Amino acid sequence: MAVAVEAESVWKFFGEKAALKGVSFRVGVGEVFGLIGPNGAGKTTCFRIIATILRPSRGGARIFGLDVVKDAQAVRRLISYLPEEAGVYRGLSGVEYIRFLARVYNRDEGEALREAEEVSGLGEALRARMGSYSLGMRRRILLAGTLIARPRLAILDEPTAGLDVMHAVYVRGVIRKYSRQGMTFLISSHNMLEVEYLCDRIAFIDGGVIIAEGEPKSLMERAGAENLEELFLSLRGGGR
Amino acid sequence: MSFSALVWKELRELLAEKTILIGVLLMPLILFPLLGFTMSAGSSAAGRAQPGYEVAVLDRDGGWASHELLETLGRTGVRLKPAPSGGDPREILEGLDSGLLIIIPEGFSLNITNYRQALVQLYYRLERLSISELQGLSNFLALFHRLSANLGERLASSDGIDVSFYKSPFTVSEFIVYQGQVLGGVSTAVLQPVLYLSLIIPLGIFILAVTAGSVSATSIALEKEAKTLEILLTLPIHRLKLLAAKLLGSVILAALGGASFMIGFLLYFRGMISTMRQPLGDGGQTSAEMLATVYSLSAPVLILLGLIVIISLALTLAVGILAGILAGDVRGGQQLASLLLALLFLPPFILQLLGGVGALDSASRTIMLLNPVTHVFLALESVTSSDLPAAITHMLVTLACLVLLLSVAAWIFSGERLISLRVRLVRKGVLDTARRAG
Repeated sequence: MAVAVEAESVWKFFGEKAALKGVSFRVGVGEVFGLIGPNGAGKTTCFRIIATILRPSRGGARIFGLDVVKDAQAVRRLISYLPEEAGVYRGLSGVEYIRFLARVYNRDEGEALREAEEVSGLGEALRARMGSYSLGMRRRILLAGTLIARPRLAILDEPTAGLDVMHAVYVRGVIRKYSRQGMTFLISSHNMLEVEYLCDRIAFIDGGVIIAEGEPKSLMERAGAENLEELFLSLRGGGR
Repeated sequence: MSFSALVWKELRELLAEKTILIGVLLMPLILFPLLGFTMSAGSSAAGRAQPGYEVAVLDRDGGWASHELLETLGRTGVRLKPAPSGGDPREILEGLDSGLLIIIPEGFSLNITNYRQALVQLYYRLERLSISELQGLSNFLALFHRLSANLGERLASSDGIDVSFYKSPFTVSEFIVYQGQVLGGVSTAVLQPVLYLSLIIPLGIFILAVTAGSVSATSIALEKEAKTLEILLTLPIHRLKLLAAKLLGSVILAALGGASFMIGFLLYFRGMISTMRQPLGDGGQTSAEMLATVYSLSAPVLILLGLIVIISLALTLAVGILAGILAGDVRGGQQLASLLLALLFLPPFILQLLGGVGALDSASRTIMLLNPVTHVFLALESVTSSDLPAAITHMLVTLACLVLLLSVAAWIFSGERLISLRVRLVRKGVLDTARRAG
């Protein structure tokens, strides 16, 4: 299988503190890969390195064969990133935001708008200023913005955070749809049902170290866990 | 394509901020006429001895000398209003709503006729203790000393003695040589509006700069606070382009702010000129003539003035952007920008009021010249005195400082420092410590 993401012994220090301690994993092209772990485990740092925002202190990562440090600009043409706590431009309307992104990614504005409307499900609200959007609406417009970029790799940090059940289910369906079209996804989520539903493979990260990696089903079988939550707790030693 | 989209995004976001619309675009249009109004209102008290001013008069003497005194006073243009004979001077002043009451006591003319020194009482109502009010009193006292001297001279003349010669065997005719021009009949009153103008341009730029700097700090700090920065940094656009778009957006606003500044300034200038047409000295220049002589607002001067305003605004915006990059949130960015701009602007601004860089010793002058804002003020001074080569030189120095500042900003912007770098201000540090202790 062709490799979309290849992280090799990635270390990241903030001052004296190591946020990542030799993290390595691979994501195949077209895969939905989940990076799972408790708060402060190192997921966001890892995503930021792959998204070219941070540089690894040691080790390295390649996206479709391109180095995230040396070829950062080229990598940015292949990816699109939705951070967990991303906000919106309050002065722009949803339509203006999508048009802006369409221009940045050289896409037809009308086509991008139609796609964004479908992904976000915001309808007429797209014409309103994003400053007036609810948390859920903001998340949906940002997800739409991430996907209309048509990246080869979409990095989604908690894609359904702040969404109600209906919209969360809808968004999962959208991710699945794009995945079937060949888009690679690197996602994180605290919702284990979501991870189980979406991810082809997962990696558990804790304290900056990958402690388990594989297909959700085989990982659960190996640990004798009934679901991912049980597996997660057993991997962390009974939920300390 | 992507760059223009970015600039458009910056402008849309910046213009959505009401503080920018008010601070950069509307404020100069309001500020200058407002300052002009305040200054002319402030000057009115000092203008009590000026033509047209109304003075209450209680002539208890009614003799030839009091008539002559009042007639001479009337010829200076001061309007005389008879006061009621009874009552306390305070009540008379309040009753007539007058600023000055002149009481000529009984026997005034008789005393003069008999070569005895007579007395005139002046009651001057001081509204408040201000420089302009005291200046008004001083003007009146000077006027009465002059009237007394004139009356004495006329009396001596009627006795065949030319006392004026003995009192003053020589006279002084004042001239000011300014930039190769000889200006005659220049009094403090004439110079005052000119001094106001030399103050108002730097003051206007200072206020506009601090507002604009705070705004540009907001433009980057807002990306951090609104959590839009990370998405922006992963767009397929070079980091320097992102910074350039931010700066260009701010510069476009600065240019609009500069245009607003110039319109406001010209409105103020025209207003000042129209209120200064009356001569204040005896046959000397009017303030309008003096203003027109000192400040020749030709097309090249106006263009250079506009350019200086734009460059100084761009400098301010760059400081603001740097503050925004360094700070963690909008409040921190604005505080840091205000702090940096106050440090940069206040010393040259105060120095400008106290005599300029030329008044300093060489060591202090060198230190001051390291501050780019000093060159902004020097460029302003040069352009308003039509020394265009000096103005251009100072503008180029300011421009070089602007490029240097932007290079630092670009260096921070190009790596991960933008995300990891945080400058915490003392206030925040203290609050955090207090919170931890709590």
